[in-house]
Amino acid sequence: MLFNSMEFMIFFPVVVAVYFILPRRAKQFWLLIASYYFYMCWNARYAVLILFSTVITYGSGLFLQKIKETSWDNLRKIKYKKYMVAFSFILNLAVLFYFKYINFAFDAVRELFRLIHIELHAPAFDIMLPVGISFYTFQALSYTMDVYRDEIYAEKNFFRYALFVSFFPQLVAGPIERSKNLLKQLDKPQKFEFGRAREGILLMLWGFFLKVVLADRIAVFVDTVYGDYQTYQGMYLIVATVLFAFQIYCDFYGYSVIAMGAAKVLGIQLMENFEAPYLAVSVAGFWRRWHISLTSWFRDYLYIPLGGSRKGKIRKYRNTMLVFLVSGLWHGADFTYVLWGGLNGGYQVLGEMIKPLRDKIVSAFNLHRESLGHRILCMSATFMLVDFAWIFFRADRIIDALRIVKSMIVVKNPWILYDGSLYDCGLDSRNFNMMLLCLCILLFADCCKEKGIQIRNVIARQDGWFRCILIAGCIWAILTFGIWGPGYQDVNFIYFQF
Amino acid sequence: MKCVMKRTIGCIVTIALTAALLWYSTGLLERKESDVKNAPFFEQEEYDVLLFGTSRMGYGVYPMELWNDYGIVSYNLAGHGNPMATTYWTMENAFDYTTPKLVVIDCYLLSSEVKTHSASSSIHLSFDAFPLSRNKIAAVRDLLDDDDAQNREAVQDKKTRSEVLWDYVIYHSRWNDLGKEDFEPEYSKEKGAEHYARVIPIEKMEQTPMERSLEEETVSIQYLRKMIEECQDRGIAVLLTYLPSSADELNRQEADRVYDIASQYGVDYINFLKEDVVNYATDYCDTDCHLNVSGAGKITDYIGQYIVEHYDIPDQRENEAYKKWHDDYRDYQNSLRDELRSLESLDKYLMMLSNEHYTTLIEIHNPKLWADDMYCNLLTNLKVDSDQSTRDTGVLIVQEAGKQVEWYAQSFDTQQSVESLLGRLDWTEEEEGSYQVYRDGELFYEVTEEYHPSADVRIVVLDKDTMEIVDHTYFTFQSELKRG
Repeated sequence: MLFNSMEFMIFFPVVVAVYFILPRRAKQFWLLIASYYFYMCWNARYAVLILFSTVITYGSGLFLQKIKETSWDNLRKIKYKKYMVAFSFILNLAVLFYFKYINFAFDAVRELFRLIHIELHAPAFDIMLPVGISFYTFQALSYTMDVYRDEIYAEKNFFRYALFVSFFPQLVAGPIERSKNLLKQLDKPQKFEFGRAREGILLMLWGFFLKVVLADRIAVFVDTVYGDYQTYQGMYLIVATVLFAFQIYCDFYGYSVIAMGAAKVLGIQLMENFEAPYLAVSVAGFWRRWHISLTSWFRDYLYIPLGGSRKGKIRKYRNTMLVFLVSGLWHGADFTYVLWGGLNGGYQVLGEMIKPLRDKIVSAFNLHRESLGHRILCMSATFMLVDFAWIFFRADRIIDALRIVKSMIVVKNPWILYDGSLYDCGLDSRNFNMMLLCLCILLFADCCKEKGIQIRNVIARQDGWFRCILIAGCIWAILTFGIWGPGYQDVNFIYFQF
Repeated sequence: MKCVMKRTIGCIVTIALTAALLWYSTGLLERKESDVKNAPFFEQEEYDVLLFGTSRMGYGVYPMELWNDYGIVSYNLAGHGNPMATTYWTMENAFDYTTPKLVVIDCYLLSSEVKTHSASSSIHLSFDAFPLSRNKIAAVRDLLDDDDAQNREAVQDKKTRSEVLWDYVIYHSRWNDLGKEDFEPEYSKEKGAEHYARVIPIEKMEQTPMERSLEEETVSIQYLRKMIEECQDRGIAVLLTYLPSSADELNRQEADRVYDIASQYGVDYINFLKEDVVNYATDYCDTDCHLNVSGAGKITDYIGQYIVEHYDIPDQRENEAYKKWHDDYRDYQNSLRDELRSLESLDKYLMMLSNEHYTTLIEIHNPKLWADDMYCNLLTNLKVDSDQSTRDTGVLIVQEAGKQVEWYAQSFDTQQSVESLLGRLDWTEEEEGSYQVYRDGELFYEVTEEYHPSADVRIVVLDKDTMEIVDHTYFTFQSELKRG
């Protein structure tokens, strides 16, 4: 069930209404049933996989807690705790590997052997990727690690823990919540609170705007150009690549905001997943603002255990590259994603390496790092670097990405920017202009966020009549200007595949 | 408590405002084809005859002519490509608003095993104009749950149901396509019928013995039976038709099968494949056997005559309750005249002259016209005896679509005068490069520079009652005879 589907428009109000009517003790069960139903709408059989992951991590959590409470000496405790963590990780990652990476692994091995002229006949598995498997697997694994690190006590209530893994708003595309934050909240169901529900609904409306009005509209243009990049060359590809940066942002940010809003209506606060990432002034800054829940997961559970920045610059560079290569692989079982991750890691390593030079230039030219001009320059440079990497993320194959880059450099056709040719790429002039207008709204909202202004709080302070008109107008505008319905296929959220 | 009240009112106002906005934009954004065709149906509470079928029926029978010629109050609810199941549900929905005395059902597509046409526009054309009702929901549930059609795009997605019940689901993306016609829609003046002003000659197939007969109890036959039974339960008479077409093997199988069904239920049936009513050279507007204005006029007349003779359908022309229908007919005729004035090619123009409200004067300045079979056929369609004519330059006068025809050979080089159906006509040239035509001594029409005095064919169309000029136009040979 997609958030931007008729089914969800019925499902969600029913879940909320019943949730607040039910007695406190029954609320968790209801949410658990609703979450499993939500997931099973895609494929009922794959609910077994969440259950498997839930049982393994729940059991390993309990065992870790037991080990901690034994009178064994520390060394022995650590040894058995590590066994338990390894057990949980291996089983969960094995499932993830099988469903997501096995064909990729076989293909990679086959290609490797082909290089030395050995033809390998590896089997091809016809496996459908379970929706959101990377998200809930990582969320469940974070619980194992948190218990291992004594950051939380193991959850004894299986149903509450199962709800933690499967909580429907963030089940299939995050944010990847931490047990410290979510389990505690699930333990204490909130009563209905009007202001909070209103805030949640405003968040959801913002998310729907980002997804159905903006991301799906941009997708029409980007898919047209990237789908036929041999026809749409040069400037077409540059425009499409810039727009893709916003498409993926609006798509994923939209989902996260709808998830946050839905959870908020239910009285649960999920973490912010995006903080105006395209206003970052460095690639490292971008990654502190983009998909925060995943970036922080890698930081806490991979980068720091690898030594982080504590063991010298070379180790730091290695760890950074490793984290980003794995992050690329997490996003998809293809070398395009690995290269995308590598590019982002490379930017940061290179940035660190030339930092003294950059500092010297700033000092020599007496530049003010906080000046608007300097910030805009850095933002633009960051955007260009990040956007360049998105080419590899979007392209179907590395060779396609390279051809696209070549076309961008070689083909000179800037006139298409003003001769109306851009209106022939899937969006007519009115839809194209609507997209530009919506991008301005997004930019305005991000600037407000950067300045610490929460627009929904500003709305909340307005008179009731104004809020009524605004909310009604927003719903109408999203329904009217959104890309949805049988005229268009409901477009899946891009991040479902990860 | 006060706070709760305020919030509750706030929520209600927000929901009401949203609903109002959506209600307004649903009406504004929807495609107007269905409303244009069927919205006038709801203006009248009582109809004597309802016409159902596919687009062949839609293009084939004109309720406005049934009204004018026979005083029959009818509406044509045929839809494009509607299999019988869709027709059944159209009829059920129509019965929510009226109970006619007679239902005419065309049985084309009787062999069809599907319930809806593959193009979703077809089902929208039939149902968008109908307000949401139990029967509309039942129709959508039945028609869009067609297992046999699961592979077809339009019904593959179950959401098609929602798009029919609330068409905003599909039409909301029309915001960038809104025009004046969306804000001020102009409803059809044809009481559900449609017409094409085009001529495409088709060939009637050779009537060889049929290879097989249609014996299967197809889905469409089942629904036809349901329609007849439903009508008989309600005391409504049924007339089945099979409108004229190229009469291919399948057409003939379908048309033959209707005899069995008609006799089984004791209802009348007109098989136009066996009637010599239309002219295959002049009466079709496309190769899909849709009748043009000329062909539909003939079929309408035939059916009107049949209804008057076989059913107790009152002539409502003097009934005060239908006073407005006279105005509607006038509007309808005016729209046909507007269309006539806009036609660019002679073949379409000659076809449209089959209207019995016109008396036409045709000046033929170029005998090349007679060398073209198409024009000859169209003139024959106006009862002009083109074989016996001199096939030269001259003047043709056609009264009321061929009720009376006169031909005067004329060179146009010299001043001439003739005694005609229209009175005494004098062609005079007062200035070089232009000429005048006087009728009984009064200026009838003047051919100045603007009217291209050297045109190959000139036509003056008159209202048969008032004898006022409806149109004065001329055609010159390009690749064909075109206006201008």
